[in-house]
Amino acid sequence: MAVSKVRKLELVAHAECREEIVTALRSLGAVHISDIRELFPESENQLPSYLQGSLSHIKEKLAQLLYCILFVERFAPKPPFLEKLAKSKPVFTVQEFEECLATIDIGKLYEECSRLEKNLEENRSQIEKKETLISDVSHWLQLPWPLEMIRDTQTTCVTLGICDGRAFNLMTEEMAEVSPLYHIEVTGRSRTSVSMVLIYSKSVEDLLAPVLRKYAWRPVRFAELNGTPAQIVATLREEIKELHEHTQHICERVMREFVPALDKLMLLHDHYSQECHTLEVQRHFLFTTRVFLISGWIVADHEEALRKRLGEVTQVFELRCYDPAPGENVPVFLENNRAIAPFTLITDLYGRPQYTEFDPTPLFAPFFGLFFGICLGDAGYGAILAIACFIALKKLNIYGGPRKLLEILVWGGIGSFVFGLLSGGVFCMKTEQLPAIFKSMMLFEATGDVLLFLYIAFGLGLIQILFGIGIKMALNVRKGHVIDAILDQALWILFLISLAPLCYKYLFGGAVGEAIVSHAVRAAKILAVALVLTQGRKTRPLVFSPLRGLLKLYGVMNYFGDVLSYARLMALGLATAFLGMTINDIAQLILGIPYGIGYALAALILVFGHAFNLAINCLGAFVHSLRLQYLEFFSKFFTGGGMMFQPFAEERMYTIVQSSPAKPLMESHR
Amino acid sequence: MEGLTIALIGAAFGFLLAALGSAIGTGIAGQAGSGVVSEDPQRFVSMLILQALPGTQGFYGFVALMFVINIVLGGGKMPTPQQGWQIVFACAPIGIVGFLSAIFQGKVCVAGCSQVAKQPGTLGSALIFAIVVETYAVLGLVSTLILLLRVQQAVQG
Repeated sequence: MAVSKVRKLELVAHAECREEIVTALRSLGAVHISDIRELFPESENQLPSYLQGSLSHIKEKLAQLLYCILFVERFAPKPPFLEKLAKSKPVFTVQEFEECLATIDIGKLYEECSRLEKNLEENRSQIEKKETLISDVSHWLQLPWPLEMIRDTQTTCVTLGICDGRAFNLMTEEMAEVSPLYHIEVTGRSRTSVSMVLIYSKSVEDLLAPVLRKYAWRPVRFAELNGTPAQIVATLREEIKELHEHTQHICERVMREFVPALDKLMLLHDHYSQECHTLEVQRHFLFTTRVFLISGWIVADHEEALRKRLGEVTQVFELRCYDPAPGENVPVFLENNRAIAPFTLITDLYGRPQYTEFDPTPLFAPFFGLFFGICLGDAGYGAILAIACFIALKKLNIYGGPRKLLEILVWGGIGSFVFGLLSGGVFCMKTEQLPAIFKSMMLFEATGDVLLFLYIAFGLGLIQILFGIGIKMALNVRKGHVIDAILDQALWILFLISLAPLCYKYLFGGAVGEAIVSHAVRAAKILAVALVLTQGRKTRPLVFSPLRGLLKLYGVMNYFGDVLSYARLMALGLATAFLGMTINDIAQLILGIPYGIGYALAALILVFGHAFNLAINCLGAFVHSLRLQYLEFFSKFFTGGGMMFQPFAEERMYTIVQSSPAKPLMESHR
Repeated sequence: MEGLTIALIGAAFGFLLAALGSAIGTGIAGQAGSGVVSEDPQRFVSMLILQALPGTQGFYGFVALMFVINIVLGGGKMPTPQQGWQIVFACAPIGIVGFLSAIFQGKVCVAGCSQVAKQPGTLGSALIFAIVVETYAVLGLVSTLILLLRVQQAVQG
């Protein structure tokens, strides 16, 4: 189906035109390059020395560029989140790109950036140091003498000191007891500390020292500081101001000179990381002295384009494409039309199909949309979701997985819109409040007719499961295993169909016509016997085969469990409806508050309440629908686990270069 | 006790237990998510999704509560004490199963957080592991609703 035909490729060319060929392959983006060791296990994936040299050269440049970008980005203005998403990647023409490549000297830029950063760093640490000094010196701010005068005389010691505020009084008392030959000039007092100038006779130093130690008095020295503390603080402040100005100056310079060039740096970064990737890929090549060999895969439809493109570049090459041998591990490329394509996100999450399998995406996509719709189950929510996602897709630059997710949500929103209309869910309004137009479209009331809702969920589950078994049957027929298809799948499908009315009547108490019941019982009996007899047909010795068949018949419980699992559709649908109703009720209660406050509050509650309800139920609807596909549906026919086809292609993360020589054949997956 | 009082106790406890479980489940998942985000802030959305999963049991409990108030008691006739007790037991499945499954789902989500942290791009499988646990909460809610429907038929005649 939508698994594209892929052919194996071997390309041998002269080493002289290696660069041209690699560039051509890259711009074409159609070749999945595989490791040469698959062909030649003894190869060591070494690049030839001349390539190794340019690789390390490019890596160095890349590292320098990254450093510059990170440095400059710190100064660039940060746009708000939505604006950032809405901003498109900067676009360059080929000439502009080449000009950038020629004029911007990355080495010089790197030096300049690192010098500036060093300056900034130095300024910062200087400022910090000076600020600490200011806070230290300010303890002695009241001191009228220059600090260089605080020094010992012949007979006295003169020193600055500081001690704990609570210990100060005790300390002076004790010092007075020891000797009167000292003087303390208190210059600053705070709750925690007392700063002072201490003068004492050298003769009593031995007596005073133990007391000072006891009260944790500590001397303070300001080396190389001249002038009174007040003068010093003023000078330091002045110096700090200058440093700030210098920093500001540097910042302004970066803003003026470097920030506008940020896009160009990004352009170069894209260029060099692409070059780097291009060289890394060549590790998978096999090099001899004169030629090199590439082995890989190509989607069969692209073979001609590749041959043509290579022919434009050089004549000295040999390209061989051939079909893969059975059993070979072939990378898988999925091709789907635009409506279905986003759902490949879900397939990939489970695992690509094997090359020999088919792509299940178109088979489950409608179910997924429907189930999502039932779980959300509200026409109002569905419309909002679909429109919001649609606008986001049009206005914002979202690529890859998130884009596919939004596209899936558009479908989910549409499903929800339709199911909401059918089941009477419009912004979770109660049925009696619904406008007549919605009432006329309603087929059943989801919140009132809960049992019917549950049976609908089971019914859909049964349909999907039977469909899954049916697919398996078709696969068996296609492989030529017609007997397996009849005995393993067709019998089961009939058996399950005949059991369905019986379950409905006896387990759920539904009303089923007598004639149907008697037919169903008869059919179920016959089919059960047939299953017991055939399900064990591969068991040896044959005597045990009915036993085995009996055991297999027990598998009906698995199917029963699978169908029950679809009850979640109804549970989630009701959860949305009841939560929304409560929000409406609260808003209505509040409406009574006078002076218009009631209306304002009610509007707030409605908007935020419903937004929350929508978000939380979207999450639920998505993961539960996902689970139904993976566990209940895929298990019937799908293995997955195939290798992804990842073409070697141009990749630019941040920038776009216009009018590339040719359009690549497929979107890159990396 | 009046039938109405008993019925309200049943509805309240159905919600209470399920919501408590959700609070615990989202609580532990949130802690793990916060740890991952502290290392790699870009994982915030994945972590938020994983944290939100054990929160649904609380909503299921709430659905059961609303069902009792709006549907079972909505017809104007009040239940007898015996019917009140029936409502209590009908609410038990979502209450108890919701409570336990939310906690265990929270644990699976914690494991999922570290899985996604180590192997980015495996959010899908982490979600599936967690959703398998939730199946039983869903079945709990469905059984509660079916039981309540039966009681409703008796109450409203």
